Amino acid sequence: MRLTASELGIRPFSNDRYFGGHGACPGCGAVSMLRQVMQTVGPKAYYFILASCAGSYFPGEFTVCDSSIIFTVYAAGFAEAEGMSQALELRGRTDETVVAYSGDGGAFDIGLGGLSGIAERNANVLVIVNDNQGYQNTGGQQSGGTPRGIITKSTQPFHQVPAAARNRKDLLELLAAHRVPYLATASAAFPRDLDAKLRKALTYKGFKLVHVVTACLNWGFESRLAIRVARLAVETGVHPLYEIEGGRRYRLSYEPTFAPLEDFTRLQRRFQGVDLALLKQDIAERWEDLRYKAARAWPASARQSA
Amino acid sequence: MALDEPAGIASSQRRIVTGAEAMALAYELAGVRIAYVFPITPQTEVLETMVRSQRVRVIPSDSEFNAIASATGVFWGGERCAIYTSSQGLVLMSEVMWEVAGNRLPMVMGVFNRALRGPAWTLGPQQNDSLFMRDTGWLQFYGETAQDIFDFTLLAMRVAERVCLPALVCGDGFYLSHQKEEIEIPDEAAVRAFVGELAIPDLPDSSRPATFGGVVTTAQQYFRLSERMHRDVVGSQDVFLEVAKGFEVLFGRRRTLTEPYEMDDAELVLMASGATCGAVREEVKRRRRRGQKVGLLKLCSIRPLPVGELVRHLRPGQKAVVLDRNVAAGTGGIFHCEISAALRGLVDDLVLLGCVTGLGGVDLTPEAAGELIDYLAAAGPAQQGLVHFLDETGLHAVGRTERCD
Repeated sequence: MRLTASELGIRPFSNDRYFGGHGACPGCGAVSMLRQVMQTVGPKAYYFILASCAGSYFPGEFTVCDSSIIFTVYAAGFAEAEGMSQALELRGRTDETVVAYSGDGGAFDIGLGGLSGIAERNANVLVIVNDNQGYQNTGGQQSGGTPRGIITKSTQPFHQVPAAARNRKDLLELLAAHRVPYLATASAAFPRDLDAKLRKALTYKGFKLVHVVTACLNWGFESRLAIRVARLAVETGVHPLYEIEGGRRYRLSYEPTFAPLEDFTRLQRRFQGVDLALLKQDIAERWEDLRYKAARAWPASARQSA
Repeated sequence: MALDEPAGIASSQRRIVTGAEAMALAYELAGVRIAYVFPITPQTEVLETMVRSQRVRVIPSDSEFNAIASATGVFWGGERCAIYTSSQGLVLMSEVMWEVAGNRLPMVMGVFNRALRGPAWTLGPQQNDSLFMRDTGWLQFYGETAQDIFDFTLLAMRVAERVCLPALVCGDGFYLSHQKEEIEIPDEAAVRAFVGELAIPDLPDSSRPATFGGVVTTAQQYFRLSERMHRDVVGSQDVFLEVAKGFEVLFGRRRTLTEPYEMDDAELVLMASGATCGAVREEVKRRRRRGQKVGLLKLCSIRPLPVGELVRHLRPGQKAVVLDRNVAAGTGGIFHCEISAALRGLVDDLVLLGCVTGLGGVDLTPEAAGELIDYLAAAGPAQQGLVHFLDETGLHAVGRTERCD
C-alpha cells in the first residue's frame, strides 16, 4: 500500500499538529503513529502521558504539538485521565477529549490495575497504547508485551527461561472481558485504518482503546525501516488488525497476505537465534480464535451503547 | 448568608457528629462536587457518610493509588475533589503525593491516622502514615477534636490554594473518626463564602496548549523549584494566620497552629498533637489544682512547622517534653526531632525531651501523663540525650548511643 502525504492528510510544516523539535530517536516507529493520532483527535485534547518513551516525544520546557500535555508518574496516568474527564463533564466542557497515552509497560504491567479500573468504570477516555514490545525507554528490557522467546536486555539466555513458560499478554482480550464500548488494534503502517478506528472510537462516550504495535530501533533494524517492519508485523499475521465493540462483536479490519514470519524477523536482531516454531503456533492459534469470534453473530443489543 | 447582626458571625447549629462526619460535612458544605474513594479502616466512616450525600458524586476507585491519581485529574480539570484515607492507603499513594505537591495542586486530603504494617498488623492510631509524607511538600494539620477536623478542612482549602500546595488534615483513627462530639456547624452560605471558588493560576487549557510536569532541562531548574517549595511551606505559617483571621471574623473561632493551655506561667511544658492532647490536658488541669506550674502546648501542624508560634510560647528556663504518637526507628519521635532541630539557637536554656507514646493505639492515660510530668520535673539537660518510651508498663529511656546486647 503506497499513499502520498496529501492522501494521508498529513501536511508537514503547515497544519501538522505534532511537529519538529521532539526528542524521539531518529527513525522511531511511534512518532508517525502519534502524529496521525493528533491529526485525527484534533487540538481540543489533553494527553496524559504515562512515563514511557513519550517522555522524550514531548520535551518538558517547550511544546511540539498543539494539544496540552500532562506527564504523570508511571502507573497514575489512566486514573488521572479519568479524573480530568469527570471534571470536564461537571464543568460542561464536553467538546474536549481526554487521552491517556501509554507504552506497553504502562498498559500491560505497572498500570494494568488502573487501566482495568477506568475500563470497569467506563471512563470517558481514549487510551492509546504505543506497544513497542518492551521497556524501550530504559534500553530494551522485557515487558508483559514482549513476544515469547525473543531477546531483550533483561531476558536470561533462552535455555534458562523456556519460551513455553511465558507468553505475551493479550491486552485486548483482557479488556474485552471488561465489556467496554470500543477496542481496536492498529498500525502506523496502515494510517487509513488507524484514522478510521480513531474516528469510530471518538463516537463513543466512554472507554475506548486503540492498541498500536510500533517498531522500535531497539528491535535491531535499520532506522529507515520502521514503517516496513510495522507493515510486516501486520502482513505476517503477528499483529492482526481488528476491533471489538461492546467486548463481544469482533471485526477483522484487514486481511493480511500471511507473508512468511521470517520476512519480519530477519530484519531484526532481537530474533537472532530464536526458534520461531512457538511463535508461529501462537500466531496460527490467535488467528483461528479471532476468525471464530469475528464469525459469531451477536444481536445488536450486544453492542454496548454509550 | 445569615449573619448575627452585632457580632457579624455567621449563624450556625450545634450538632453531635463523629470526626469522620465532620470531615465529610466540611467538604460537602464547601461545595465539593466530586469524591474519589477507597475503603480502609478507620477512614471508611467518611466514605459512608459522603455516599449518603445527594450533592457529591462519589466514585469508588480501584485502589488508593488510583483514587489520588483520579483526584489529581479532577484538579487538572479545575474542580475540587474530596479524598481521604488511612495508613496503608496513604503509603500506597506516596508516589503520587510527590507529584501532586510538585505540580502545586491544592488538593486537601483527610487522614485518620492508623499504625502501618510494620512489626504487625493493627488498626490502632499512630501518626507514622501521614508523617511518612513529611518531606513531600504537603502541608499537614493535626486535629484533637471533631471541631478541629471540620475547621482545619476548611482552613486547609484556603491555605492550600493561597500557597499552591496540597494539604493533609489528620486526626487519630477511632479517637476522632468514630467518637461523637457536639460541634458548631456554620451556615452553608458562610462556608461557601469562606472557601470561595477554586482558583489555580495555571491549569491545562486546550485553547492555550502547554506541557505540564515534564522533564527539566537543567538540574539547576529542579534545585530552584525545590527551594521555592521549601520557602512556600515556611511561608504558609503567615498565610495560615491571615486565612485564620477571615475565619475568625466569619465563624467566631480563633484558629492558630499551636494552642496554649495554662502556658502563661508554666515551668513545665508538654507539647503534643492530636487526641493525645485530651489526656495531657486532663492531667495538666489536675496538677494546676495542686499548684504545679504545668502547661500544654497543642501542636496543630508539622508542615508548616509552627516555629514562629513556638518561639512566642516557649521561654528560657522552661523544661519541656514533646509527646509523639509516632516513632522514627533510630531517632525517636518525629515532632520532637523536628522541634529540637528548629529551636536550636532560637530559645536559650530550654530543656527539651522527647517521649514516644501511644504506638499502635496504646492508650495514653492522664496518670501516665502524670508520670511523665514527674519525670520532667526532675530531669535536666542530661536527659536530652535519651529517647523516652511511655506505655502501659511505665516510662523507659533509651540512650542515643546505646548498643544492643
